[in-house]
Amino acid sequence: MIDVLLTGLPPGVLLIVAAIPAVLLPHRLSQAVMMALPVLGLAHLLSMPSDFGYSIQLFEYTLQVTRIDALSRVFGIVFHIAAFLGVLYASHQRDRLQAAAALIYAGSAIAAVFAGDLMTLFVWWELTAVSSVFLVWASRTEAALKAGQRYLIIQVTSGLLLLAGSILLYRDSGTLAFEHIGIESAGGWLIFISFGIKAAFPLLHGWMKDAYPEATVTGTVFLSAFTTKLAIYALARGFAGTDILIPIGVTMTAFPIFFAVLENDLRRVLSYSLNNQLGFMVVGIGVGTELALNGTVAHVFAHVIYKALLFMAMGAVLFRAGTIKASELGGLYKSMPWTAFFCIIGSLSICGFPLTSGFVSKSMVLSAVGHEHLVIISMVLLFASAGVLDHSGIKIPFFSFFAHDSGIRVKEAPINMRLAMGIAAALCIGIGVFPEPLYAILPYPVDYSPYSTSHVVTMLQLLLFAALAFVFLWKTGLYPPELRSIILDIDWTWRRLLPLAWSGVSEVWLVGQRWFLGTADRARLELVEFTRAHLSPWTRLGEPWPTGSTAMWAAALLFAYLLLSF
Amino acid sequence: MVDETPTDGSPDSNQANIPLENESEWWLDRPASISLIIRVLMAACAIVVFADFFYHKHADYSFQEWIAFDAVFGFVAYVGLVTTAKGIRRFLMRDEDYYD
Repeated sequence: MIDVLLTGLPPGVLLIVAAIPAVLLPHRLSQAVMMALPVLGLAHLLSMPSDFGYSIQLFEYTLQVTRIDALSRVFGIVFHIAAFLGVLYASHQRDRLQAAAALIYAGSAIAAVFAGDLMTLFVWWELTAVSSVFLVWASRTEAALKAGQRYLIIQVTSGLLLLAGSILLYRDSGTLAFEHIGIESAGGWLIFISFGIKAAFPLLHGWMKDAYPEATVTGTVFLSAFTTKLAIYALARGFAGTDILIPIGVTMTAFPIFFAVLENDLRRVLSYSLNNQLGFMVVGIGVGTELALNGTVAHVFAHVIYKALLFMAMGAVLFRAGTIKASELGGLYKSMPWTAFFCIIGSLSICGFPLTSGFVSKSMVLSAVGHEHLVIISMVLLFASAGVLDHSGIKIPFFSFFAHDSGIRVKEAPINMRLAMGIAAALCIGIGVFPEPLYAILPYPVDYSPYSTSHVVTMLQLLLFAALAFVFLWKTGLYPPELRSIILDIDWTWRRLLPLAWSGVSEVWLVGQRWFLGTADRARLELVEFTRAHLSPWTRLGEPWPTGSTAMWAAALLFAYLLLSF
Repeated sequence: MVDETPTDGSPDSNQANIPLENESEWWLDRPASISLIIRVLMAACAIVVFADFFYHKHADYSFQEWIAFDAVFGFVAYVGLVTTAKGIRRFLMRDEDYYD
């Protein structure tokens, strides 16, 4: 029985059940155990057969709690790597609540990708929401508390849509299996929107730029890895080849970069940049060919690592300098040379420079779109690739570590942070130089070589000339200066417009109520006045009638009755 | 793995004890270094455009095979993005305490 439990339960459960006992240990031991957990989890996953399923019977439902196949496996691998990097990066920290939340969050995201049915997926889906909000709240500021509440409402809503959609699908098809879903049914649509919220589709993306920058230094590193990529996994599983994903994805690549150019909070810039990278993946899923899906999955793998690296570098700056506003920073390479170096590697990687992980993964998505001859989509993706160079390639390292010396002098990041960044940076370069091991674990056989002369030269032209454009704009003073400010986005609708509209509605309601009550009261008074004027004993109608005239009226009535009855 | 000094992340505990005025001059602080970097970048740009004459480009669209297509595209896209964003800023920028 124990044996079945150990082999049958999905990877990830280990992190969840061990989280609370692990954080209760003394600090050093606790850190060692927490770092061992993702390593053990990964070893467990790799030791399992590459095609595996384990189901349990719950009432009349069969729940496939574990499904390992080529698609879920690669997500499981990269999630374990991200969990390890995150734990290492956070290991200086003595915050048991946050550590436990991070492990449970990572574990539930891992378990979610191995869910073979929609109910199991729903359970893990909601657990990622509930556990991750503690990484926002752990900042223990008022802004974080409020942002966390908004985040939680939106995340839980996503889960409820998933639940409602699953019930509708079960009613129609009689199965809960999590296979291709499609948007042909109402249930499919609900699930599509549920995944879309977590994948930060355009206009559904507000929670990410709102909450991620409010999370703790270490919390954002975890957040950046799991929630959105779980959604990408779910879309790839349930909606591959759904055409509408192509325009959605391409909007995601282009729309957030304008905000990223303007935003002053560098961790918020990274959130927009994360949104932009998700766009490439969503386009890949929409195209749905083997090359496109391989490209999407490869891009997820590369992205989780370089994005975590960038959030780690900006977290280290926030941790040491106490601010992450571009307008306050600059010249930090003098105090934090290692962090600056690792950050630049992350930046090169996200831009897709040759010899970095971003190049070998993004090229696949771009090629897949090109092979389908979607010319406008290709050009927007190319535009977005040049845009990435601005916000993540230049803005992030330039305004924090270089630009104008802010005079801030701090210590280099703690050794554990440097180690985590170093490993991530090594992976970025390693995957870029030797893409074969990554290609080998992709869901479909790979027949693709990123390092053709055409690919390398055209990518270098695009990026180097975009960099030249930055130099031109910077030197001529046309580049917009970093200002202490915020940029309004879609979350304005629920942080300002809805409250305003609500107070407007209640205002109107109050005025209406007052008018109605006033009018009713006046009408009542008038009625009383009328009655008093005409029916009082001293008025014409109200005075007592003599018996004679009463008898005469009665006789007249009876006579009329007699006449009518003929 | 513990940090050298336990810290709560407040700026005070993270200050390095390096007085500003005793700093040696940094290579990147010299204007000459900046212009060197820019010259290297321009040389690199020239090389990758020049390279277009020496191989047969395989592109998905015929216009992408034009000489220096991606170079021009990259430059124009970047300038377009930043100037458009600058325009958008006029409508969307608010004070930092807007939501407080």
